[in-house]
Amino acid sequence: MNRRGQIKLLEAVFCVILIVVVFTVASYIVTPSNPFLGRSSKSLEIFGYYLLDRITSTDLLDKVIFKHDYRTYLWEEELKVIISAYVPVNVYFNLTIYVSNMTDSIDGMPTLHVLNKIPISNVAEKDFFNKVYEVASATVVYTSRKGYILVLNLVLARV
Amino acid sequence: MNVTVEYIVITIIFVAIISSTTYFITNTVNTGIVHISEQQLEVKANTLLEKILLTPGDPPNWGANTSLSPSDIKSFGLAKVGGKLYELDIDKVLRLNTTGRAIPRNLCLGRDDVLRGLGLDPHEYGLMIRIVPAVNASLKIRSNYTYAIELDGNPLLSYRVPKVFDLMLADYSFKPAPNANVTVTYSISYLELRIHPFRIIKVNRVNTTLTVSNWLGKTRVDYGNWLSKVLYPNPHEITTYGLNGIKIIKSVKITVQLNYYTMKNIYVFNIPIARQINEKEVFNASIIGNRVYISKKAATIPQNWSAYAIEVIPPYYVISVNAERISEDDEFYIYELEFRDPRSTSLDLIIYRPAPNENVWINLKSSILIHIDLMPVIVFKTGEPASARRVTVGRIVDIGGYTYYFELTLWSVEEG
Amino acid sequence: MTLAVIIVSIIVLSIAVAVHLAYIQYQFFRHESYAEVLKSIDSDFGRLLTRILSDVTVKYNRSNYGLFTYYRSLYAESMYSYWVKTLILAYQGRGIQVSAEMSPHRTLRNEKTITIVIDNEGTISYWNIQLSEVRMNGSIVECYWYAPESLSIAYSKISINMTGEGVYGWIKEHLIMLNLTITGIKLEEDSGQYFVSINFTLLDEAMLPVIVSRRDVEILYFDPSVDISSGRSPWKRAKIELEYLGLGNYVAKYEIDSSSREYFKYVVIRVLDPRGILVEACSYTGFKLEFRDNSGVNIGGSKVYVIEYGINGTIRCMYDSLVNNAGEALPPIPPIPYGQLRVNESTTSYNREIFFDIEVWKRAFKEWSLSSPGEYPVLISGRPYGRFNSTTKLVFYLNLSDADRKNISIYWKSAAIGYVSSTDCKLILVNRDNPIGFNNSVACFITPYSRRRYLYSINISDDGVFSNFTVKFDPLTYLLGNYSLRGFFNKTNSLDSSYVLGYIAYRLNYSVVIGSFSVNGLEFGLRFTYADKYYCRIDSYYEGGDFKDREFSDVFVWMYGNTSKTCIRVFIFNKEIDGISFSNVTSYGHVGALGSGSYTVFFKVVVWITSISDVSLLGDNLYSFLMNTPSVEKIAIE
Repeated sequence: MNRRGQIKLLEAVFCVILIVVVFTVASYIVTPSNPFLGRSSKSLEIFGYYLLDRITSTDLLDKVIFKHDYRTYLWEEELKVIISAYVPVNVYFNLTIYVSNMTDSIDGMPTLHVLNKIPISNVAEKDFFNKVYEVASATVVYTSRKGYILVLNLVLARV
Repeated sequence: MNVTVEYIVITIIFVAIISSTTYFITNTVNTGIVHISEQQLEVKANTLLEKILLTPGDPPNWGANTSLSPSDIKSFGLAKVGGKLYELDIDKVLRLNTTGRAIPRNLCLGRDDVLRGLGLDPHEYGLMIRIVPAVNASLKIRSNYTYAIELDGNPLLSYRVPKVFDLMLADYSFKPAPNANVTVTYSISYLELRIHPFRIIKVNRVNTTLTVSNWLGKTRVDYGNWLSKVLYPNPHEITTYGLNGIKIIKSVKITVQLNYYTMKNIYVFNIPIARQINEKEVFNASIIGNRVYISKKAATIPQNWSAYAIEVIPPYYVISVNAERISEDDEFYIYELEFRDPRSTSLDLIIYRPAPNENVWINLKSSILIHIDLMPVIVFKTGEPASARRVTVGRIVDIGGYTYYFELTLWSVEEG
Repeated sequence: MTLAVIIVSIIVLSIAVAVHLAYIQYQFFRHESYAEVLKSIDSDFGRLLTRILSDVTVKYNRSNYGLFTYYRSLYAESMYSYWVKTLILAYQGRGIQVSAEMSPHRTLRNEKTITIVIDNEGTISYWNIQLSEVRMNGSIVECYWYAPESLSIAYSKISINMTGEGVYGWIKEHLIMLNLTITGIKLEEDSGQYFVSINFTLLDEAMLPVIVSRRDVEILYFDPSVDISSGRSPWKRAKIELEYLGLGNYVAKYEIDSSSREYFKYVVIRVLDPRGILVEACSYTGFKLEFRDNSGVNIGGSKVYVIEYGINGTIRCMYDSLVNNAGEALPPIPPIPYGQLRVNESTTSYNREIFFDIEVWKRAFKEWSLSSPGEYPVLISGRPYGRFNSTTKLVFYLNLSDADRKNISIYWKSAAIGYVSSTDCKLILVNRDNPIGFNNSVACFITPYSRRRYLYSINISDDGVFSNFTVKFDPLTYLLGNYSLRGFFNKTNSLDSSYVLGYIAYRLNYSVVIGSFSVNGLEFGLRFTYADKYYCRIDSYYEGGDFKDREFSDVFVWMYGNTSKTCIRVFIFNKEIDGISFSNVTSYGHVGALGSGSYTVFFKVVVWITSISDVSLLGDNLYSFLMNTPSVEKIAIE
């Protein structure tokens, strides 16, 4: 009788352990790691487009980039200051501006060359955006007054 | 006894499992629920913001159409039909009931109208809309120019207009705005007396200067030279110069157009001329479409007085437009303008007692100056915001070609 | 119990996994971002069209050559396709497909009549000017300029699919426009000074006012006192004051000299708006002159005069001015690209376009008279387009054969073309040593009509005077050449020394050939004079060369010389030769020397062949034997 009792006890303990384990595992799986995260990736992306819209809606880029010789003048710093005025404190950005070039076209399609000599970013680390979980990006095309067609790619991360 | 102990142990274990499971589940789900309900408010606020800023509402041109009363508006949206992204219609914005401007009740949008137009239950939600210029300018006068009309050395009329002044620029978060391009348009509108034949002509003089703000966001402008050419001779001594050429200054405005990176704004500073000579000045009139509404509480206007309006069209022009009173009700006088230029940014309505001949020219002094600022600061509230659980979202928008910061605060009226 | 527990565990785990999977799906669901992308494409599309319109209008206006279609294809079409390709590159991750309408066809304004109020020191009159239809004719940019209501327009439509987002059939169209309309012109006098006020409106595509300052507005007015022979343009830039009246209405005021008073209503306005778009308007689109034949002579044939018209309203017929009975000064031609010009003739029964030439001369002509030789159209190659200026003449035929009075309308089209045939127009410059002057091709403007192909050469013999002329006609060799309405001769080798200027004028499309009066009863060697002119009699002649050994009777010999020399004879063929048919001409014209005693010889050569299809050559010979030249009777603005 002792043995039967012991076996029953073992059975019960085993069941308990199993249930505990199952629920623990389930709780980890079901936890939306952060419901906030799902929403805010999208809102971050929308914010990215909104920011790019503000920059492109006036002649600002023409005035900043092409005011002097864009190859030598450090217009990137000026643009960084302007964008920083718009982004909230916990948001990091990196803007890459490409210019579309028809002269070295491949199969009749233009090629994109990076126009900014230094990164336009408020973060120094190069692979910062690879490490952060919540990242969004936005891309717009901008026709400048001088006739250059630019592609602006903005990457945002919220910490 | 062993069985009992067994049962007791099992019961304890069973209870432990249930409670720990419940604990895990509630903890897990609760974070989610709290986050979601908080985010829901923010999400809702963002959705409402998008709806207000990107849809024109129904009917689409409800702003300028004065025959539409608020109850006819089925959907609330401020976007301009055919406008760019985030461009709002100024007539719609001006219809929001805000303090400091009197609008006839049958035209202005109140709390219930806006909430209904957004599909919100007033018992559940409250909101506040704030529209402020994206770049602020404040004016500080450093010195004045005095134009006087004298008779035998005794001053009959004396006007003081700004000569040298400083402009201080800041963005909507109150940081100074350096390197902003500033276009200052100084406009003086006056009635000039002419004899032989006797007539009174309306003169608008404008001078536009371009300047840039320094690292503190400040810039100084000096109009001394120009003023001495316009308000000439000074003083106008009647015994020397006669009555011909006397200028009765009606309105002095300094219109400042700011261009700070992507943000463009315009500020109109109305210099209080009327108060100098004890004339009436009204600040809280409103305009919808071509009609100006002046609250009877602000001024009493005799029927036979003439009226005309001055519209500032920056950066170069000031024009005079005919105006007349078309009706009045218990609370408002209603004046209609011949037209309102779509590009005008401020309006002054000058209502004056007409002078029949040169001997009673002094009557020109009696007038009422009504300021209508087409670029006001709007604060629209449906109630008092709850202390907990409210969320504020904002966007930079364009209204009439200028940049504003549109802020929406949403709160839940009931707790939990 | 274990079994139950195991089953419960499995159920719980599977539910957990399902929930987790569902959640992951949610995290990747980004469907709303396409709306932002489309909004940004829409904004940039508007920007693109604005930039394109600005580039095309400014470059076209600045160019002296007026090559609209060239600038349009350079700035508009290539930029647009470059933008579309960039768009595809930028959004290729979303599976974007772009279809852009590069050749829209859309009517934007129907034909209408616009009224300009002309106030001449209190006297009010109205100009009712017909405006053509405005439409996009297969290009994204159109400029309808040089009219009282002028438009610069860019229009297109794009359609986007984003297969990666599941978006199909998003279409957006954009119209960018600048509209300048002249509504009134007023002349006022104040203590001996004259002031002109021009009322105009400036609106954009949404019919909203466009705000400009006086620096953005250029007004050209006409000053007849300018000596155009110095090369200066009689169209001067006014110093204006600009006032804004609201709702897009402006008044520009400026002072003019009293000599310009009569011309105050002829103005050209150019405005550059804040977006960089330019538009150019003229207060009139053309004018109509009524001509009358004053000769009182019935010559029994055609009477065709070659008329030259200059920028300042100078009008000549074979270097003689016509009598102006119209009561007002002849209207000037504005400095517009001459590709826009057209000439019509009309009577009560018909109204049709006629040929004309624009001759570009080497320098602004001193006076249009034969007493100043040395002036001739310029030898330029490859540039037969430009703006009408002080060195250009508009040359057309006035055919008064079928009517005693005729209207000629000189007008300009509003739709910018600015580009015409690039082939040089061949004027004949013949000299003694080089009888066939085709090496000296002369550039002149070619209307779409001047595409005749015939050439003639004139051999000049060595007896010191042009006593023998051989006119050869060889239509087949120079089939591709274009020839102007007139050809020029010179006497010596060198083009710069004083030479004899004569010309051949030939008509290109009429079926009526020139005629003249017949002179009967003249014997060989007899000469008769009429006033200062000498006339030689008709002769028959043998021609060498291709037409060797053929005898022609009824040949017209047209001669010209001075008192001491023999007359020059020229032949008109009027026989059927080698499949070329000639008209049956029964009467001929004569020329005589102008003046006496000087060696300056003027001659006109009439080569008269009616031939292939509608081609014929004829000459202007009427000057010589008609007592009077036609006069201008009436001017109407249209």
